[in-house]
Amino acid sequence: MSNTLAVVLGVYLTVILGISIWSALRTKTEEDFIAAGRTIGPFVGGAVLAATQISAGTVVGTVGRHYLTGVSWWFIWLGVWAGWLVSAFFVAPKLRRFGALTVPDYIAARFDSETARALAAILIVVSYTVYLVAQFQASGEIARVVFGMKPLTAMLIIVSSTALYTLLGGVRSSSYIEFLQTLIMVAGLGLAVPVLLSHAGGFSQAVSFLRSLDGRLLGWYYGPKELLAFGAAFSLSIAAAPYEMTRFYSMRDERTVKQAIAVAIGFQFLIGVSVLAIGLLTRVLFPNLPSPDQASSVMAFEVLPPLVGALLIVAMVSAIMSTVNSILLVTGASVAHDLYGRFLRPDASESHLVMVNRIAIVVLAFIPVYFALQEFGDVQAIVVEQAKFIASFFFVPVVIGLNWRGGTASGAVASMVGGFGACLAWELTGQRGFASHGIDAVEVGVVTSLILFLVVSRYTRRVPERNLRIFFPGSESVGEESRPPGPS
Amino acid sequence: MIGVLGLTVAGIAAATQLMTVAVDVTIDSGRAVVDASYRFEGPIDSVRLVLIKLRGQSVRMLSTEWTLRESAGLFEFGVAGAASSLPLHVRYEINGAVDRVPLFVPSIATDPGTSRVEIRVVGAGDFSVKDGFPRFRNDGRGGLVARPDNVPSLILLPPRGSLSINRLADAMVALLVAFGTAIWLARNWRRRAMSTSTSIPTPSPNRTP
Repeated sequence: MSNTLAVVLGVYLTVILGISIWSALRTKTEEDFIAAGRTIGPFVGGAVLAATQISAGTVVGTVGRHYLTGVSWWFIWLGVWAGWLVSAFFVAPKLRRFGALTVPDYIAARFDSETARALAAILIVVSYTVYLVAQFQASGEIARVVFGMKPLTAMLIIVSSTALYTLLGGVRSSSYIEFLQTLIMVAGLGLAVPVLLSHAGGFSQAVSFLRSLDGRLLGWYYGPKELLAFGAAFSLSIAAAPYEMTRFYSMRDERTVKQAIAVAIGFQFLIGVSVLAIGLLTRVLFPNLPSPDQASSVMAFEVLPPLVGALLIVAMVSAIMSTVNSILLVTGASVAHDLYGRFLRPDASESHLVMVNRIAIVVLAFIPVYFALQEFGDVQAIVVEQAKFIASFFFVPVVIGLNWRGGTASGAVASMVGGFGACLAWELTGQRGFASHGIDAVEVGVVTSLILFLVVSRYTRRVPERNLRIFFPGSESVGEESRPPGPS
Repeated sequence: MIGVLGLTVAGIAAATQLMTVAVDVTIDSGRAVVDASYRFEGPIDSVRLVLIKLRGQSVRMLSTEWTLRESAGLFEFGVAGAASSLPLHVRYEINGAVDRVPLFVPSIATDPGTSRVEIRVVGAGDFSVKDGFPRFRNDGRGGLVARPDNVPSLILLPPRGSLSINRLADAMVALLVAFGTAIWLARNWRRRAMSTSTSIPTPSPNRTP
């Protein structure tokens, strides 16, 4: 197994390096680096969206969650797809038409506010650093089980190799690499299921064992309150996720974006079903692992035949790399394009900004390693946490802001700060009583953000018509002094 | 999230460890005898051991001190009482189809860094080692040995010559890689051919200036 794995990993890393060098030769401007020259088509685009969404949270965390809690966690996917549909119909087309390079670009243009831009950039960097912690922690788990390696060593290898391919070609290289990664994930996960099922002695035997082991595994381990909270965290954050939205910018046009989202949902369905089966079947074969996060690595390393196992380990590593890469592109762009390029050196040349972006990527890649070594929770828990924060400060200014003319700069700033603060405050206080009241931090964060957005927008200076025209081209012009209309 | 998810995780991450597991399986014409020893370390209140129920088999306990409870999908027994170290020995017999042999899995987990799990099989001459689970190798004395990090619910030794799902899955991987590479090469070749034909325009007899 270890020889096969070494060969498969070696071939995979060589291919990645080849694509990165090819992309680097074609990356000349900042638009090339951040948006791949806007040339990505629907199939590659859909695979890219699926790959950025399918992270360590899925191949390590979700497999572990199914291993531990069974079927009910699968309903979270409905939240994920609801988020995608909101994005497809209410967010992506308008953002793609606008043609920004980063999400703070949109915030600044929609609300005519550089303060809102800076705030969005800072919040992106903070919350995605948390997301990176989950990715690095997952890489540590895989390395511990598969290679017997210290987590720190694995994290440093993942960080270095991902930072390298992000640095070389930007979004162009990562798009083609992520296309490849999605195909590997679908193939690896899809082939693993029949092997596990055969080892477990068939479907009915596996079901019978799981039902006797813990009745909740095939029933409702999580109740409706919990599923609603998790689903809300995922759907609201995906609808406005900056790292997904950045990928819309790299696609050819609005039509391509919608087609790509449909392709992404298709890929995710295949992956979601496979991950559910793998989690449950690993529980049949190894009913008591020391950590649920080890389920996918143990399954790949100890159960599957060498080539499929190696492919799946590559799929896991690549899922982590693709997400780390997407996040680094977004956070690097937030620092270089939205903070440095706007506030510190507005006169900086394109090549200078690309260089700053690359330095930011390196620095931001290494910070989460320290936190990942502390192991604050299991991988899926950290992923859900960051989703809650993203939803709490971005859902309202992005989704409502794109579909309601009345949102103002002060409203956007208040909703971002208030949503983030309310989510954090509830997480530290009220979340402990979740079992009794059923109110989750994401619900508190988003509702607070929405109320602040509506109320503050009502009483503050409205956005100039020239900015609104970009996002509401067909709508009737409203006078500078008139009150904004209600949400549409 | 710790409030909602943390509790569920704590259930599986116990401080007590399963330090050593030694399983000896002797297979002999439709019958397998399993001799398994477990040693737990740390503050122990209770341990539950479960055995997966497999089709076409019957289980008979040879250790008389444990009473098995049976449900639809498994057999189980429990040990209760405070202790700082607990050795446990189980001996049982499987009759019927013995290409899969079920093993008792305790509710206390191993620690992959420090625990040791060893499964030895004697009498598996007619079985395919390559397709087995967990990963077995010949021990040089006519038997097989596997050292997984965790205790599996069963060992699988498919008869030699039977259809191997492992080899089928590995072949699928090779096939997919070959197919993907062929598509990629064909696409690139077509693209290159198209760009060559468009870059050197040929005069059309139908076109008038």
